[in-house]
Amino acid sequence: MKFSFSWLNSYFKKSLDIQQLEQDLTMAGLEVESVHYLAENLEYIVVGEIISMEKHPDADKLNVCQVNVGSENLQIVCGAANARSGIKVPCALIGAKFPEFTIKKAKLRGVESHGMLCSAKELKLSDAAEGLLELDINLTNGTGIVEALHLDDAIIEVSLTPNRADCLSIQGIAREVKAITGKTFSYPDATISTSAKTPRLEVSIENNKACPAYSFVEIINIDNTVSLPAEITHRLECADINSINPIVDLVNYVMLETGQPMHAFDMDKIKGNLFVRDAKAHEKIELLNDQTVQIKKDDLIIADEEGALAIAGVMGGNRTSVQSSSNRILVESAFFTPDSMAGKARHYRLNTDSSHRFERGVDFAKTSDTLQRLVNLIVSSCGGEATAIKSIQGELPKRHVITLNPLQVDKILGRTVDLSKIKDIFSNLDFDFKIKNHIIEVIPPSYRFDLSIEEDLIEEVIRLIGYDNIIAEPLKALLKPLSYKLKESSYNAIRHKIVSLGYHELVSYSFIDHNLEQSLHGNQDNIVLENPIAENMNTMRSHLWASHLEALQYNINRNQRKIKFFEIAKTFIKKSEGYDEKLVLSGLVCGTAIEKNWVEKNRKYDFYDVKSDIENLLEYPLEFQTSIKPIHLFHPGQHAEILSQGKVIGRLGMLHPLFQKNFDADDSVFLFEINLNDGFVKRINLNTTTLKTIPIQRDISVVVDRKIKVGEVVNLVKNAKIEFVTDFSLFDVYQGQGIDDDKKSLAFLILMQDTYKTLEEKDVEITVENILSLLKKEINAVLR
Amino acid sequence: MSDLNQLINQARDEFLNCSKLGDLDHIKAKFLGKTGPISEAMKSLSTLPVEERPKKGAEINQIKNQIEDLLIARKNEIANHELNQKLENEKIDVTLPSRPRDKGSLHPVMNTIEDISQIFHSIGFDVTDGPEIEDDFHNFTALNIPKSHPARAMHDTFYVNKEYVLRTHTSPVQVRYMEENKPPIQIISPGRVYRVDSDATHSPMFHQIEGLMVNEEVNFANLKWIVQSFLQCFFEDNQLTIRFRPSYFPFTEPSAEIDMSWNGGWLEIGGCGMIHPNVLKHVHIDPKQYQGFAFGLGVERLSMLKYGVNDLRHFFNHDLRFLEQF
Repeated sequence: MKFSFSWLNSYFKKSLDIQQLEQDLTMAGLEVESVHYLAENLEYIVVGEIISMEKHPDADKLNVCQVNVGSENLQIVCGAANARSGIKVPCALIGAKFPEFTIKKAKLRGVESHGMLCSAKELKLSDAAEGLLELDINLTNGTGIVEALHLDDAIIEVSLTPNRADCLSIQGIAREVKAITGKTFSYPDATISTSAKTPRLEVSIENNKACPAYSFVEIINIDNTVSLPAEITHRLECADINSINPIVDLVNYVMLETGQPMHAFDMDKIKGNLFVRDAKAHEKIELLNDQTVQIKKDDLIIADEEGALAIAGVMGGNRTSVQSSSNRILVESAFFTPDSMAGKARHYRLNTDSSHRFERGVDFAKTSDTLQRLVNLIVSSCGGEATAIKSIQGELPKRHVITLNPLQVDKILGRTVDLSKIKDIFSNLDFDFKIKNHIIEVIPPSYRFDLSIEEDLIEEVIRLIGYDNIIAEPLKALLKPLSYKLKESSYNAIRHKIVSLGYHELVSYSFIDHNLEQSLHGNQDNIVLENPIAENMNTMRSHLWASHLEALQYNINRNQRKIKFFEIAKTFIKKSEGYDEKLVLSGLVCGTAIEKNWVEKNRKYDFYDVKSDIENLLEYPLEFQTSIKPIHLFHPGQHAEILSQGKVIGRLGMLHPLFQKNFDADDSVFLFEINLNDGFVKRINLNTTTLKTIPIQRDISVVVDRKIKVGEVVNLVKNAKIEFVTDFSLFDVYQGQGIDDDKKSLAFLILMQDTYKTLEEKDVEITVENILSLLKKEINAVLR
Repeated sequence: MSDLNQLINQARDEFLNCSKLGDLDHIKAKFLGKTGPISEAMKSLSTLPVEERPKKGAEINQIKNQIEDLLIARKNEIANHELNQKLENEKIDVTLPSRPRDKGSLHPVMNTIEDISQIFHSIGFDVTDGPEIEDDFHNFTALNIPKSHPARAMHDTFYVNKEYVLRTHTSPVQVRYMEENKPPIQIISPGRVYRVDSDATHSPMFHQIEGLMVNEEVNFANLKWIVQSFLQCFFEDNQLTIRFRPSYFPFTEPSAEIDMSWNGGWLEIGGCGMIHPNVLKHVHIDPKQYQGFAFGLGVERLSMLKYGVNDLRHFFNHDLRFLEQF
């Protein structure tokens, strides 16, 4: 909420200190977001009248003005398009200070200039610089601009939490100041009018549960073309409320003053009597903002015999809006319950000053008094004759007794608070309270909607004592050993390890473009957000790859040629009921593996670089096998499932060249994903039996059919569990001269070892022979 | 005998003239070999009278030893020389670039989460987690934010459908944990949260750390202590002070914003408060017996302060030039 400081100040006998106020409000829970001083550096700026103007002899766009500033006439060169004789404008005299310069006597293209005529922007009153700020012609020349424009003021902006609707008014803030400082204040005049006339129209309240209090008044013969006192327009401006016409402005003014939203109808446009009722199906209304909306059935409205005139508590309609020509008006002041208002404004996407207050709670005890205040202001400004106020009252909210045990204050806060202090605080808050058997019984005021339990009262106590007055107290807690093998720490171990393999960690948004989700992952059953921040961020991703590909593209376009990314994050998939969230480690590799250098050959990343990274990362034995179900995102010949103990835990593959182009990549892109949710535990199968003897090594080279996969050959030997064989691994593949076209030569390294003695040559020979005959038998391998 | 004495000089000269270890062996044979002058002199001892033989023999031996000493000395000299030569030849330019290796980097936001988790783990807080697509009950209702509560408007919620939202805070983890565990409870829960908000200072996805402690006596003064001690530890600054400012969260009462002293001013870094009795009731913990506090900290803000990052958007732009600095 924004308000004029001088307005608040006018409530108190002794002037408030603005800096102290800022501090006090913030520390009591009304966070002051900003204080904007209107009159900064405006000492040398006065009201000036352009009495004559002629063209500058040497500059097309400049004019030479004679400006009367009260005591003298000054010659000032000015380039503003709206400069003309007869207008009054702010005039900066010699010595006036602006952020970048100080006004001095100067020559502009040879013509002397003794000051500067100013725009609203130069006075920091507005952001737009549309020529000179034209002032009220009735102002006296030479008057200081601060005085002329009521600039001896500051705009205070308070950020209010939703529980403190009682502070959405000057009087609410004044009550807070009283609660904090104990300073008392007086409310402005609300003399009850003695009109004997009663309103002509009848109002029927058909839903008095949603509207338990409704007061209205009729005023006839108003002049809605008058100028309101400058003080009022200034205060509205400070609150960022646009001036419409005097009646509407005064309605807004009293709302700012008291927190009570009200509404004025043009009586001449009301057909028949008024009804406060629930909307029927298919009712429509054209609102004051010219928008026509379908009213939700059972939403409370104000209607006449023809239909809806206003959505109660939200916004009025155009049909009965008060215009400057309006002569007879009906003004309502009502209490619409927070329950009936809940979600209403959001439904119409109309968060108005009125709905904002009603849905949080308005003082239900002041409906009629506030209307009286408004009537008095209208009659004194716009003339006219008002009827007596007519009030219809149903069952108002009850304020229940809240009990507070002072011992509980100490227990919750961890410090003691004297009973006398609590009593002082409650008095300053105007709480109705008494003490019975050391228990305080409080009835909260009608404007407080946030107090219902003991803890609420404890908060009132401590926020006014000040949170600073609670001394931090070390914890006493149970000491309990916690395993360090948390999921968290094992993920962190992976993070640290993969970084040493050269990967950069990303944190990317969990939502991606649904087109990407569909085209890359072929996912037809997307999780689409109802209200995405942008269309290309509307779908919860089922893999992290799309985000990484976008990150790749971003960096390629910044000339990065060596890219290795990883991220640990959740992926999302629809289940029959709810959603499945899987934590995955995902990565992308693309570009230069070894850059041009003087010591070794440069090359690009390939499949086996990434495979090696994954093996190094996970530490336990993995198997890679061609995916049974290929993923269309991958190159059909370069993709693998990653298995651990026979279970698929992830995938690795080269991005299909068709997709690669879409992301501006010239080099192959490799993607991998490892599921961290299940089966991700580091397993140690400790083997100490082979430590005693020395392994013997032999190389063999066999020729096999070209289609045979190396992994199959290795598995064949390993699964045969041939005695003494501890490892069997490939070190060379050869195709070409000397080998038939449909064959290839594979060279393997065999490690053999016995558990209690070093093998003898004959054992070695037998073992190699066993391997060769196995290979011969199973895959027709021939020793080369 | 003078012949033999001359032999020493001759050997010395020849050794000196030789500069290769291999050649030295040939020269050695010439003097000390089986047919060399020393062997010849030894053989000729037999021609001498018996009583002269020992003396003469000793003299020959002495000469032989001298030649051998000269030889060894020269050998060492040459070996040293050759080694020095080799070392000289092996001199490299240490300023040449190293072999290319891949260098990676950890994301500052994730590092911050790790740091925070470790600090709380060190005082016995369990680290736990919850879903990011959260149901309305856990994200709002159980946290004392019923449907249509104005506080829902504070959250700028992403809706998946009527029932599910992207969690707007890590607080639902409180509820989920308390549904499964009974006091005493002390946990933290870091994670991603989502709000419909995107500008220079807001990201639609960001991270929070939720802290929760429930037992029979933990109070507001303890809350203040733990937040302050944590921040002092995280920023490695024992002078760091905090300020609690009254605020409003439907799930805590009393509630406070946490401001931290920074560059002579105050910076808001999170919110906290004593758990609202309604929240405890929702998870069947008796608010008459137990009380607790909860706090939530903005990870990005802490990360920006710790690493001196001046723009939130750097975290999510994926620019390697930014990332590789960590």
